[in-house]
Amino acid sequence: MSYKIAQAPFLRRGERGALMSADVLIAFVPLCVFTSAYYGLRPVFLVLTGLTTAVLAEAFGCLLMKRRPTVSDGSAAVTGAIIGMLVSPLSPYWLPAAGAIFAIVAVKLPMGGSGRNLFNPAAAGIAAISLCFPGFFFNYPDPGLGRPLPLGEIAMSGIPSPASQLASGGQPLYSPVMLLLGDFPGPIGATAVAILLACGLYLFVRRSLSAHITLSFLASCAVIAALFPRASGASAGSVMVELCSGYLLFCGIFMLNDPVTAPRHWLGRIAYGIFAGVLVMLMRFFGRFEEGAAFAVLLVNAFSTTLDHLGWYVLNLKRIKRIRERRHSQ
Amino acid sequence: MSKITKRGVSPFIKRGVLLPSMKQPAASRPIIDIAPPSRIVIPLLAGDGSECLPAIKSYDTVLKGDVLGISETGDGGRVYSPVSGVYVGTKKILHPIIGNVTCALLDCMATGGETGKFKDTASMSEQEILEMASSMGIIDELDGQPLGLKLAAWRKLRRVMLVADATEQEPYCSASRAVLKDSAVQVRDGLALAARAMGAKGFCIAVMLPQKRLSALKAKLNDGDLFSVKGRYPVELPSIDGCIVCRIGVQACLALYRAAAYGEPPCGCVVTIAGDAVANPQNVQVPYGTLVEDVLRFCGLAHEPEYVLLGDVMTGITVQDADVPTIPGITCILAFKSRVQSPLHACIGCGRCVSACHRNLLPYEIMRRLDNMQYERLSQLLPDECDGCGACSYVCPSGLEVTAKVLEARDAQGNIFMKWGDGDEL
Repeated sequence: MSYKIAQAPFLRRGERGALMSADVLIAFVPLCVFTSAYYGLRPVFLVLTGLTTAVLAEAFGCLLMKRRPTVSDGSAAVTGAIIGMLVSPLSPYWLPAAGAIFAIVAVKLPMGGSGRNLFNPAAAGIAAISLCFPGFFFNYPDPGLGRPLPLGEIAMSGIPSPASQLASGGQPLYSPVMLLLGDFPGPIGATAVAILLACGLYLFVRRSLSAHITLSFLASCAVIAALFPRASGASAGSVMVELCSGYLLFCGIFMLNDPVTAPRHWLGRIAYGIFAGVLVMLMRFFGRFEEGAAFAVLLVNAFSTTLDHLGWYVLNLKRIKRIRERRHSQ
Repeated sequence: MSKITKRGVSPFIKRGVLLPSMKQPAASRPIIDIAPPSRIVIPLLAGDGSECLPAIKSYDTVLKGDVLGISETGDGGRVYSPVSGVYVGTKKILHPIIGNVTCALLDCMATGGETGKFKDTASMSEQEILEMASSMGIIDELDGQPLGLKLAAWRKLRRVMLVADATEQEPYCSASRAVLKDSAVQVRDGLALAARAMGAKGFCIAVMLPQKRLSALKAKLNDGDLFSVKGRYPVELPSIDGCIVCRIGVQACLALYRAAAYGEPPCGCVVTIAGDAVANPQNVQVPYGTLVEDVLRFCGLAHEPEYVLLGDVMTGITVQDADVPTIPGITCILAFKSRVQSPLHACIGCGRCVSACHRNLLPYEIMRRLDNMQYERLSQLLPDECDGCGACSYVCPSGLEVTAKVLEARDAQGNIFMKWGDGDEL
């Protein structure tokens, strides 16, 4: 009679990485429903294009590199979907596809695939397409059109988004209520502010979102927006417009909480969030584009490991010293 | 109310994990004495880990509580017979927990359980209690150490709180609470004896019970005897009311009281038998040295088990063969037909292990440095602080063996191969 061997602990919670990815994808569903109410089915197809391209790129990449396929953990699908959510509803279908291919083939796979990428692939994809095709990327349609966008080829010029109005020094024309309801031009998934907050709450309950990162990120953005208002008027209005415009909120909820690239220790996470907030606002104030959150995410990713270890060392200095002394005295 | 001091608590983070409770139905069933097995196998190992030589000749008859073996080093370490029977000989076995060990084989005899006369324990002096704990061979079931040695060692400490640990935070084990349910007053009296022997400032029984059962237990005992522990697994008891906490087992307290009041030798240990392959999960009074297969057969197997564990699910060890004896320190034997496991992926860095670790370590980073062979940078992360509670592996969504890796790093601290990075040391 011979039994099997397993290492302690025998009991596991049985949570899976694939379920964590599925949670993020579930959170995208209400966002897609919301935009399709304004623009028809075109945004949904754009998101699906990004998702499918990323999954296919990951599958082919793994085949070519003779690696174990990692499509099943769902991280590629999330990357593709995030890229799809951040393009404009007016953009051509090849735009999210190009971003997804860049993210997977140039950023994720060369660094070792799932779980080993230093930089957030979705942020890299967004950064690449906003650098290469700013004309397509920042061309947002008017939500007040009242009819769905055509599904096929489209040649329509959009109207300036609140972020670009801020960047050009103009007075944004959107009231706080309009901002909350998402009645302003912007990327597919980033305008529905109220729904985004609900998604954040869902992910927090499902433990896919770290309150340390998101809250410190939003708080530092809000503080900078209140101290240096670009919109005239009260600082509260400036905070509102800065937080809701562009894809800042989306970035704080989905991109910064990517488990692979974020720090793991709570102090490191707070520092990471603050650092990201400062960088995002700097990009907005001095950058070339109306919204540079993707670049800020990439920059702060580079410091993630350092912040993580520093946070832990700062808290454990005394303990390390005590144990060193004990070891030397032995 | 007693106050517990916790260490390393960070804001906004709940350390530890919430474990499901699997104690039913074993916890609500009465404790059953096992039918005497035909043969038991007793490791000839004194409490301090030194090997013993048999003190009797083959085919001698021994009574319950007689000396079976005396330590080779001659410091008085002894092994006591948990049953009456005939000593047949010795045999070398490979035990999954204590390794290669010589064992004494005993053929059991049925004996009438005669109890001695009740003796008042109040008149016993400290020295008498310590001597009795040693000469009766009472063993603490928490760690398998002799109770007499533990109490004598703690006599040197000042400001000590003696705690009978009945928290049983792991999911299956319910032996201590079953003992406490049956004989709470005797346990308390035994604990009071032990506290007097070691000169403790105070004593209490630490329990982790739902409110209903806690109040049922409170009705039997005095106010202040019970200390209700709350929190997530694993809760440590570093200090209570500013006193150092010394932990002994509930069953050791009971054995001490029975030995002092009735002159009864200890007869083994209550063990929880559970798991989804066991037909009748229950708490069984088992003499030390009973083979695991005999215990499992006694409770009945509903399925052919695929895994058999000595100890509870979080810290227990799987055995390959049920042909091993139970030893002191094991209060739980589990048999499972299958296991839940997440599919293996690379570490995705979710940080679940960091927030689960109650010692404030970075388990994922220790694991990464061990895998990347960065041994010289390993000791900075303090892997020797790990106590192997298993919380990090429990929460890992990638199904990695985090605890095993961290323990490997901890145990390899003195390993010469691990020092190849430190140029000045080699």
